[in-house]
Amino acid sequence: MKKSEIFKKVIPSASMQERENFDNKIIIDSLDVNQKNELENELICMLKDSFDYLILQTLVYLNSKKSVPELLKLLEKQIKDIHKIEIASIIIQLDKSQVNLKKIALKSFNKLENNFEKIQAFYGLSKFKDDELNFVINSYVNNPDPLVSFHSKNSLKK
Amino acid sequence: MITNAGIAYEKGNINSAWGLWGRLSSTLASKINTKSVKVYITEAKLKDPKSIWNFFERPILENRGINIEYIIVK
Repeated sequence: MKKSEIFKKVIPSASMQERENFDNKIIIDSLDVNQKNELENELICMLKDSFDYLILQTLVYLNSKKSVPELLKLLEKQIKDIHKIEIASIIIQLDKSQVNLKKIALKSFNKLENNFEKIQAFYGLSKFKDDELNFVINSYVNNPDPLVSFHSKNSLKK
Repeated sequence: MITNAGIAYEKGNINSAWGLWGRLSSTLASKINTKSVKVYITEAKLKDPKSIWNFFERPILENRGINIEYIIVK
């Protein structure tokens, strides 16, 4: 498979038709070491001008420690708090030494006003596996909004 | 037919088309006024924790005590 073909298979266009039932893990697992390296480099390059959750999740699956500097730059560019939490949670999975990210994630979470964004953020905060952040998530377990309550519990199970 | 109108569909991103569909589905799930529902769903979506069903609709229906009957489709 050519480099561009691999990339298109691993990161298809972000349409519902292409992404709804899509999982790239099987494709990635079928690649050899060189192909994985090329894919990793291409994904890191993509971070410079695009922001796609599938790229971020794929970098975690590849355990791409060399993407961390570019992810930190991407984090700095973000305006939306929910994106800051998401990127911080990706980085912490790749590099546990980035201790300042917890503060960024917590500060961003405290600014979220929308319950749907909080639901997404629970999963990001839970990736830190940190007692203080887990305590914050746990404080929503009895929230009157059933989705907020469900996802606070569910995110802590992971 | 409703499409995503050019908005990216990224599972897990609440501000993408996935999240927009999820918000809409949540509203519908919270307004169902029957005691039970039939759900036509593929195995893949039933297993996917980020399917609209599992992430948005099912938790609301279960919380409301609505009986769910699954019909698996291909």
